[in-house]
Amino acid sequence: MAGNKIKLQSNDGDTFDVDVEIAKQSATIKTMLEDLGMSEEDDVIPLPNVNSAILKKVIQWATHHKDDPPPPEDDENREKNLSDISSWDQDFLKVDQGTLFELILAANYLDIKGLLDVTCKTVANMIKGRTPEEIRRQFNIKNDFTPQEEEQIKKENEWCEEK
Amino acid sequence: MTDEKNTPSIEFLPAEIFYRIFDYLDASTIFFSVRQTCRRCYDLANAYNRYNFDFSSISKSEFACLCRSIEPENVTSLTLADERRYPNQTEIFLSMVDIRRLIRLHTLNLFRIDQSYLNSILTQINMNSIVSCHIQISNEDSNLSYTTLQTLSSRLISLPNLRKLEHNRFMNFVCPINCSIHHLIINQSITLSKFYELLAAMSHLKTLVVNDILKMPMLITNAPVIFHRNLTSLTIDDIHLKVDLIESLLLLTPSLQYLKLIFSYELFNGQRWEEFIDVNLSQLTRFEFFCSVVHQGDVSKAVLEQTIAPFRSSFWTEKKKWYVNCESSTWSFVENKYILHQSVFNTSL
Repeated sequence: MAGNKIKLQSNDGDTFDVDVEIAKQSATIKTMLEDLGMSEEDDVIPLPNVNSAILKKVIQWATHHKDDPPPPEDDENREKNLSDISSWDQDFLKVDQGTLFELILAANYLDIKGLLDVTCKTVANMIKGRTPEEIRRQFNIKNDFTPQEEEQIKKENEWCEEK
Repeated sequence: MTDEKNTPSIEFLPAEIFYRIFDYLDASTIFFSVRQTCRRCYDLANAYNRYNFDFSSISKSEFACLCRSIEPENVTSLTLADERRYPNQTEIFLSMVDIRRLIRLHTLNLFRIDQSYLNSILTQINMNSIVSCHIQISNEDSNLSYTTLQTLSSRLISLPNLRKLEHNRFMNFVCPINCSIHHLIINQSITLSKFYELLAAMSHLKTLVVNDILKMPMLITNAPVIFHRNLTSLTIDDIHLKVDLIESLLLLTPSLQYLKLIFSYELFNGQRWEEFIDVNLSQLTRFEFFCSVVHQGDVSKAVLEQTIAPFRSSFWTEKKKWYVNCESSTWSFVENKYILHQSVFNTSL
């Protein structure tokens, strides 16, 4: 392998040369390299769950954040602050919803905590302060409650307010 | 990640991703908005077990509904606030929720809490799981005995998994050796001896915020000097110590990256601080200070220029990129004197 680079292959066959240290922000790739005995000299690391366009975006994000401190291990107890998205990340995530959700799925599969956090925060910001109907419109969610179920939910709310 | 024929939508996301998104939302949004959009969201919200009960700004009807509808075992963060708009919130919460079932709580915030309710909560909740705790005892609750506050303070600071503690009524607490706290915010003054004791006992401490450090009583003149190399952030909100003493304290914290000092009276000597920081606080990247000085007579432009001059060296403006602001304050005119303000704004964040 030339230098400290590895080749990542998307599910549509494109390969990308990436610095090992940048690629290792993905815990999945790090495990492949360190624990499963794959060497950096191996031809390519296939990523069957990520297409070329999304992999390119993921590499762009990981390259920008290559010098970030590692995220805290204690995931459940981490601070949940919706407002601390950097301006670079905000610009990076000005994408259509399909791309945003594909980035979330890719970050989850590749186990990149920082990218997963910032994409989930972005979706949470799109939900915050909205009514059920506004959320449905925002994400094109079909209201599949039956009229009886809707009535039941309404009663649940009234019941606990009055009880 | 998805079938190319399908446009990816939020419905493709697996449950664990939804839960991760829920982690950034308050309980009201999840329960009253997301849960009522579709069947899947309804089921996801019912199964979610990391609810953040932040009742610091909530309507009474939503408060009651959440208390009755969500299982206490599914709550990991609780904030109660007996504020004016909802003065008996804690009392009502305790009447509606079996707090012994709050077994997964890792964050506990109690604002303006009455002592009797505080005792009830602290004795019934398993505090050993608490990672972050902010307790603000009601100012009206002035009947608390010294011993009660001392016991409370010592108990809080000794919790085994606590990483962040903020409290407004610390009394002469006993600080355990190898205390696990990383972030300590004391909304009051502490004595100099307590400051030294904290440094000695809290080897994991990274952030310390105090109102002031009082020189008396000095009881540890023979105590060994302890350097604290983990402390990276120090804030003193209303400092009255002389600069010599401040410097001697800061010599013990050589790894500081953030320092905030608000002086009550003393003029900030730019050249002296430049030399001190350059030699002793080499890792300091963010420095904020504020001081006001009563000036005899008019504050002329020449006076301002003279005051600001030391802060125009290459150390301040180029190496550290800390830009100092100096201005006369006509609004705080007192007894024919003017007050001079200086503050530092760091632009290299």
